[in-house]
Amino acid sequence: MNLIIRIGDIEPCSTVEGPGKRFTIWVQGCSIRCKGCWNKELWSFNGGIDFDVEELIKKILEYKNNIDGITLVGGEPLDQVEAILYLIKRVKEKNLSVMLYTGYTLEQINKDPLKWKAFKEADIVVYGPFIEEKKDLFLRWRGSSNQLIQVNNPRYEFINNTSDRINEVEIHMDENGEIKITGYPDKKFVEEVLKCLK
Amino acid sequence: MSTLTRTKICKNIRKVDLLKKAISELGLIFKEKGSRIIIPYKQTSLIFEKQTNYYVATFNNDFPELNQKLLEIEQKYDEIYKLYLDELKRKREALEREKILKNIIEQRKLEEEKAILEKEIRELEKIKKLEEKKLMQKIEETRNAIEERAKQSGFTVKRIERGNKQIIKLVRRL
Repeated sequence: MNLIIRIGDIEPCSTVEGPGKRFTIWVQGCSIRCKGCWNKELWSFNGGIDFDVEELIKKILEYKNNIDGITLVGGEPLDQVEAILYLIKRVKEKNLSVMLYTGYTLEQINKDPLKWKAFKEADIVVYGPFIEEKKDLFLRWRGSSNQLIQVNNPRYEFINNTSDRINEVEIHMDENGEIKITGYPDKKFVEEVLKCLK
Repeated sequence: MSTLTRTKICKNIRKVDLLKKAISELGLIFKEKGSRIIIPYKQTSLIFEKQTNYYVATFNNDFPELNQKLLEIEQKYDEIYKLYLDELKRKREALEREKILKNIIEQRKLEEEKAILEKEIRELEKIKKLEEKKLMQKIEETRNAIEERAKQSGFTVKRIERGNKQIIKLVRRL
């Protein structure tokens, strides 16, 4: 039987969800539910749509020549750890890198062999819950200062050696005038963007 | 004097209406008895009787003039039958003409409907193009407004075109 993954959204080529250009997958469903979370619509396990993991891989490979890898964000990717682990392995076989976001702490990950395996298999992992009081928009690829980055692939070692304070946002506009904001915008800026749509 | 009854198969005579018409047109009187047509003559008669697909004529051979009458009836029948066929042909041709006319009318109606639909499609396409143009303008205006706000918030703005998608990449550093 094929593995199924529940997905909230996909952005085939993002430059703000990790190094380089990345096929970004927002998984649907989160059991951690951090206070002040930016993506509350991805909490419910009933939202989004089910994807056959093999179909998702096919979709990713359509963009293979234009991306450096994939980013798994949420929701909580490790709440669907079996599908995520399989997806990581298959994507890496195709010479694409994997960046994984999780709200679980290292201790929690350590207690679960599958989560631990996913943690070790991904090239880059951003881990730890989002803590609203520690929110900092200028931590590249992180939302709050307690979150840490684990680099498992020497190719991305530069991440540990950079102290850049950088805030990145991407606004995607399609031909129907629909807008999607990704990255790390502050609430006020999002409100201002929304005003521009009126 | 011997009496000889003579029977003749009238292969061409098939339609009783036309037979009766032929007899009448020759000024002869006839009566019908079942499927038989009887033309009385002196103390005898000339009888036509229907078989499966044709008529059989019977008469007393002692009256050779009856044979002559039969020949006249057959000839008259042939004439009437020919007229009958011509009439049928005319009717069929009239029906054909009517059918063709109906087809032409139907065709014209369809062509008119097609022309109306094509006109509607052209108008809708025109409206669609105008709406697309308006939407593109609106997208451009929105993009400019977003970029302006982003600059005011300290972002460096970069435009990226990807297929049908437009992406505004915003970066700011501390």
